[in-house]
Amino acid sequence: MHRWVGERFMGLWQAKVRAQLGTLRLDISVSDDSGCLAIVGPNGSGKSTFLRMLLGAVPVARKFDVEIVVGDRILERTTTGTEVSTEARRIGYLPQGHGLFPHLTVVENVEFGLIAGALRPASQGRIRPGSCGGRRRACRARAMEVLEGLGCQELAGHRISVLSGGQKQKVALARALAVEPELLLLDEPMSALDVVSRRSVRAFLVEHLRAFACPCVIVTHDVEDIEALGARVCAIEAGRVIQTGTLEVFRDAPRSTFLAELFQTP
Amino acid sequence: MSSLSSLSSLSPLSLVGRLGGAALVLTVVLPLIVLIGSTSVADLREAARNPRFVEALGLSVRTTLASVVLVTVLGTPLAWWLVSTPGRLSRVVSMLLELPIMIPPAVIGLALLQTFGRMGFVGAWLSTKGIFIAFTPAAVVLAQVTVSAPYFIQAASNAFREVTPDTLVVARTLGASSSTAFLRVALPIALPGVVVGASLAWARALGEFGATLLFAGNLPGHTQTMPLAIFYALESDVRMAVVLATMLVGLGGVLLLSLRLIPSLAAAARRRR
Repeated sequence: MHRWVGERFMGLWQAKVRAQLGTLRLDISVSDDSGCLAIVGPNGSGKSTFLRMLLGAVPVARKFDVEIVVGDRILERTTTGTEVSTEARRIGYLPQGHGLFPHLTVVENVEFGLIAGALRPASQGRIRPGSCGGRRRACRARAMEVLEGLGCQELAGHRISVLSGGQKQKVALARALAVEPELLLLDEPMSALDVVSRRSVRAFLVEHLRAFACPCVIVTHDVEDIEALGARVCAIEAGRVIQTGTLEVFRDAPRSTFLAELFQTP
Repeated sequence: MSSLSSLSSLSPLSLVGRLGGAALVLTVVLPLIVLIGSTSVADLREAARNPRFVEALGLSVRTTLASVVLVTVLGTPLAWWLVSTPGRLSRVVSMLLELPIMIPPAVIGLALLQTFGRMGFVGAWLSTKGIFIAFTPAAVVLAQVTVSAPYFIQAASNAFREVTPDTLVVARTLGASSSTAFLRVALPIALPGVVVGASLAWARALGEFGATLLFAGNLPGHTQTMPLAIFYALESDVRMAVVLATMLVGLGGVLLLSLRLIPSLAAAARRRR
């Protein structure tokens, strides 16, 4: 069930969500231990909302039935009233359109999570609590280290507004990975990019997600992303899971016209 | 932009539009130029020695600063709540807060008097505790807060709308509590707009006349602010009124200039980093 990649633990995560949000009815039950799950589905089918539920960013009503478990940590279980706050879930998030903080430089964006979360037990090995200035310097050093590891060190002092679309996605990934999440959610990370930078960001994702051994969930409309990441696929339509499996399964026997269109091989 | 400007120069109405525009600019600017031109440095120097002028200026500065601090400190969390909480309540509150913009200041002054006056709705109870608000400097501040808060709330709300909900969710996923996310992400992103709102509120408070007159009265050195001092100086000494007015034009000009400069200075500071 669990496997170790390098020094890190690639675990099983599972989520069960039954909720009514406005006109959208979500009834999704997913689990994955393959390291990367791609979520596909038409617009408005509840993919992004599902990601936000995983993050705990959607207010949960009493009548909802939600259970989210990552590794051995129960993040949410409505039956027992368990609810871990967003900041303690250790789930990384790249929203549609990068979500970088425009008032900070690249390196300040990356160190944001290190400063905010520096007192969390899991980070204490790396960033020791100490004098404020000392901790600050340690965070800056670690942020630079992450940027270097991702080959983005030359962007460190740049403002977000001067970056290209592809660079923004890379920095957003660096920022998310810097805090070493146990699960990373990517919501259409390549949708706003042109073909060339899409290819470059895709290769970047494949390389570094593997290096950080971070399990991920990626919402995408592009079969090439799924192929490159070697992802398992989960198809959602109208708030329900209609099919899960490998890429081959979807190519051989798509269960809806949308999926047939998406996975058709020329 | 360039296509728009070429379009407007092609318009058959361009001549009429230009003449009308020039007339409007002249109407707005000419009286101010005449006002400034009709006073001299010697007049200003003389006014600076006049205790009534010094009192009025001091009171205006003190009360408007108090108002702006109150409006900003209380209004910033409120504006954030209005923007970040969807629902009927926040929509209704937001609309109610716009009301003072639409209502004549004199009406607001009367309403304040009915509420906080010695016989008023709240004032009667307060006076049993020995607290009297009407016709005190506190009333000046209260009147200024009431008329200027809507301008701040509107500008701050618009600024907070620039902060996308996803940006804050990301901050939370990076380990920030909701208050840290507000202080370190939402507030800095909205800060230029919040500063603009505070400046608008200050300008409005500085110009406050009607509500102050009805609710705080016109007691020199106590509740007589600059606009009131101008009005009453006009009865006895026109030159004095003109000097006071010129001072206010100068203050407004400095405020406007700094408002226009703040964004470009901030941008320059960012480029240097």
